[in-house]
Amino acid sequence: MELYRTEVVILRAWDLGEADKLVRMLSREHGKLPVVAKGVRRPRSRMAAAVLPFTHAEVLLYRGRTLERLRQAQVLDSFQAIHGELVRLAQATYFCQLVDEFTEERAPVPEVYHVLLEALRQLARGAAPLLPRAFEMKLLTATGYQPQLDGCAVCARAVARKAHFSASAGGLVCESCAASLEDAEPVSLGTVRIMQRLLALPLDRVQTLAAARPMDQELKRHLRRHLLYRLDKNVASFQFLDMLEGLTSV
Amino acid sequence: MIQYIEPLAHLVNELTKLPGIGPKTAQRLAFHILRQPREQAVSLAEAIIRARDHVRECSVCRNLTDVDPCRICRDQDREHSVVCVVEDPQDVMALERVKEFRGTYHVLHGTISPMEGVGPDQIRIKELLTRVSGGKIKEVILATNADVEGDVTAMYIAKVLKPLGVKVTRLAYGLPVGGDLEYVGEVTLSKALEGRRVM
Repeated sequence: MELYRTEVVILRAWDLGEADKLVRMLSREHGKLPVVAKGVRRPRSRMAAAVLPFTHAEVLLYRGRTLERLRQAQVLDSFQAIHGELVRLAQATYFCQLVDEFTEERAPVPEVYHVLLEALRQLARGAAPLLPRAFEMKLLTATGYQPQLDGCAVCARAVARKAHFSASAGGLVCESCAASLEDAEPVSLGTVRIMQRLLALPLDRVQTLAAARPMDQELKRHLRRHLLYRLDKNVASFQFLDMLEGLTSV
Repeated sequence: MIQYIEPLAHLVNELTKLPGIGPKTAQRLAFHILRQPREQAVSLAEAIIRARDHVRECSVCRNLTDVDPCRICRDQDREHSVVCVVEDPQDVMALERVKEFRGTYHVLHGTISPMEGVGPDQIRIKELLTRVSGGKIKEVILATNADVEGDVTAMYIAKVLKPLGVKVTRLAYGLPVGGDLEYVGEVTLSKALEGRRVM
């Protein structure tokens, strides 16, 4: 069996048998990998902390036919600041779940790895209000689903007024094209400008950006529809995030 | 292909539905049951039915019990103002084995899991809130697992309990007893440093 070393971010883990875990990790060079981690649920396991979700770790893996086996693991960053705060923990869960949904096993997309790692770093530094939106935008771009924002996604003409957003068309649409699209919804130009800023701005500069409450909600609604249309399935962690938002805004 | 005779096939099929039991193990168990004296098989069947019919949730702490309220909730020698919140009934057994804790429990029957779409309404958090709102509880100890779901659940409960003004504590993280410092993971070690205490 072949041994190899790689840097990973842990996306998710399930209990397996009495003391093991099945871990889904994202490697920069090897893509998403299913890995059996033996004995990591034993209290004295040295590798237990390295296979917790969101952990950035260096791992030594045995290549298996369907599943890899974890041989060694070293935590590079456990993002403790994320684990100590509920909203951050829910956001990190959401980031990992979204990456999980947007990636295929053993199909490496290094840009997705970088986006996830950087988003977790920013989250550990402090929760920026627009970080989830910026992450969604960067992830969509890295996976080739970047929403079309410069001109109408249908006719390519400039959209100067009465802009709409359509998930099925893949972005901004002009008023006349919107008429023939069932899912086209009006979007304010301010929200479009924030979307454009989010596309251009690196993740480590997202704290400099803020949106007023109604715009923030509009942005979230359109981006979420765009994401769900691409995925064609629901994302469970949306619900919990929304519920927390309701809880903190009270 | 050799087919099982129907009653045997039925038994194997039922056993396969149990967690961790594959077709091979189910077959082994089924043949074992058939080799046993009849009384043994009847006793197993009766034990299953009896447990299923007589075990229910305690109306106070939600732990599994055959009498309501459960024996712990009835025990007048216990500290009823202290409630230890755990994920599963097995956790109550683990804590009871320690023989240190003299308070009462609250069993959540699961954890909040954002990834699985399990929200606070699907576990027994509402029941805990009702219990604490009664005003007799002074401290709630959160003893959920030290993993992401356990942390999310503990932090969520701490958040919703805050307005009620009750003292909320979380079990400490640290070195395992008998553990070698050199072999303890970095995260546990950093938590242990954080939670150090004066001697």
